[in-house]
Amino acid sequence: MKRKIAAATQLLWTATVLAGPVEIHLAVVGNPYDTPIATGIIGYAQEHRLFETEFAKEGISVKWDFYKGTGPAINEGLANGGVDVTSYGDLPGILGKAGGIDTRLIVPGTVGQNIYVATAPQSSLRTLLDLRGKRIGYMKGTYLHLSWVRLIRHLGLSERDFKVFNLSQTEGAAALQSGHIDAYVGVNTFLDLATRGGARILYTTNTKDAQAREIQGFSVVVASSRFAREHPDLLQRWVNVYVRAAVAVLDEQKRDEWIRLAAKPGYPLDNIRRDLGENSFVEQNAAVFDERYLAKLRSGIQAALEAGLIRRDIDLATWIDRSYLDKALKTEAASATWAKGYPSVSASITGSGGRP
Amino acid sequence: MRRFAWTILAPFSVQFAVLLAWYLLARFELFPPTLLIPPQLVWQTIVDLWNSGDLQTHMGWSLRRVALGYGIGAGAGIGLGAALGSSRRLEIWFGPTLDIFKQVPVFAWAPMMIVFFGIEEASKLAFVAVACFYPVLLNTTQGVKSVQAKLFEVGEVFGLSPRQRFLRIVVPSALPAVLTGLRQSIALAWMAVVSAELLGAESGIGFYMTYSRQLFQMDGVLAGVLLVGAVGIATNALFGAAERWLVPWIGEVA
Repeated sequence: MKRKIAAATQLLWTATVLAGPVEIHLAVVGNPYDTPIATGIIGYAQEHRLFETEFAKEGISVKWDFYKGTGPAINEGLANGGVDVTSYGDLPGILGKAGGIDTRLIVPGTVGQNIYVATAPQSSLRTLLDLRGKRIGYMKGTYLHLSWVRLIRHLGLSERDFKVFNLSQTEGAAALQSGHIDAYVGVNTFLDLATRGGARILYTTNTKDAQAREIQGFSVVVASSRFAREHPDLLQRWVNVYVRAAVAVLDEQKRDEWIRLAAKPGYPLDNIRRDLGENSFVEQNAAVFDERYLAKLRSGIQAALEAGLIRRDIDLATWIDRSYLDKALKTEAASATWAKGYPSVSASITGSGGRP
Repeated sequence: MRRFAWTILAPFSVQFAVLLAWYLLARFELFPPTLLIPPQLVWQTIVDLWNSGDLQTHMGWSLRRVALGYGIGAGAGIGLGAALGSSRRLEIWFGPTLDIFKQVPVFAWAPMMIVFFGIEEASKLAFVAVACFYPVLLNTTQGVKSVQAKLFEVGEVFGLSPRQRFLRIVVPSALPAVLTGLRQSIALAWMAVVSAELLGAESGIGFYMTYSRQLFQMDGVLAGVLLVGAVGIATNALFGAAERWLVPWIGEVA
């Protein structure tokens, strides 16, 4: 009975989908400047209209949705069927999957997303331990939340040791300057704020320190399983375009181009340059499920479990679906240096995330 | 007797129907099951929250904020309302200004509250207090104003002192209206505290709901909705009982 009704709804849904013009809903994490501009590989594809060109022949349009509520809001979009494909932070991806949203991790996103723990410029707080019991702001459910939880765990602390306020980047900067909070865990915009004398960076993962690198955030590119079932061909072509864009832009010669793209939503160029430091953006964004990425994914899930952010483990073997990427890399990325040696560089994906 | 039984049962039958509809919608996955969690799982979440002590903590904070904010807002409403209701001059002076501020929705005050009172307790109390203030003020003013002139004449005949006039004539006459205001306000107070906690808090039922939403734990959001509703019903019943006890001659006021 349950199956029949579910099947009937499914059929009705499919019928309406087939009847109307197909639209691919691409969800993008909003930025503090509220500009409808994506960054990184997807940003390159947006700038060159690669997705639009690919699908224009059949009259399929690509709808770019920028979610001001970032990852947590994208999860709601995924759950109610409003999102087909998205690239978002590690924690929202993990929360969504553990919360029962039927997604497939089709492409690894970026690794090496920094967090900046900022205080007011005149603050007497000097070390992370000084923050204990103080008022800390960050946006819960985002990669910053996971990195923060991992950071304080190294100090033997948990979220309960702080007064936590759920504030966006803009709200956080304002609250910090008006003295309503003692510290804020934010993105690279706080570098700029610090330069202008509006904040002081107390801690950042933007160092060569191994422990800092361990807790840097990463991102995931996921598709809703419904979209994958209904339009496997479209999803394959979407991934093809993604890999094509990656091949075009992931080139050390194009470092300035990459920085310009990353700054395009409105970030000061200097922020992006300092945020990237001497790191290789090619390595950080290589579209291969290599051991480094999988290790980050596993430890991220483990940390979310330990901090009680998720209540059940994630089976990576069922979450990651590398079939699309495998095909795309063969057809699109034969010459790319970062994909050299593929598939031998790709580690095998087995078992659960939390308990290896 | 049959009619009496129905008045008792009717609300429950509707509540049961809503619960059944919820159950069926979830059971047959007519809504995404990740968004509409089945009632039995939400109940389990509430039980878990109770066992971990989180429910008591969050509810305790929310109730504390309601009690204090309501006390401040309703207290000011009664005081000012009584003054405006009994003095034509005061009403001319302050009435229009209070009317202007009355037009501002409570939510519109939120940014101001944060600027003036910060994001900790004070701004939440202020938010709740503002939400409670107007219904009490308006009803009290009206209640005090509408004390019948002939009652004062009777008071004069009996030679009542101003204090006696206030206690024996004004208070009993205005009480039903004041209680209506108080009852409207408690519902608003409860709504206001949940919204205040959504804005920036580390405790309270409103906070728990936002946090659950950020973590994509919809069972937590729905558990919050149920808990807020349950407390709403309980306070309303409490006020109903208080009214029947304090102004038995009026019957049900609201």
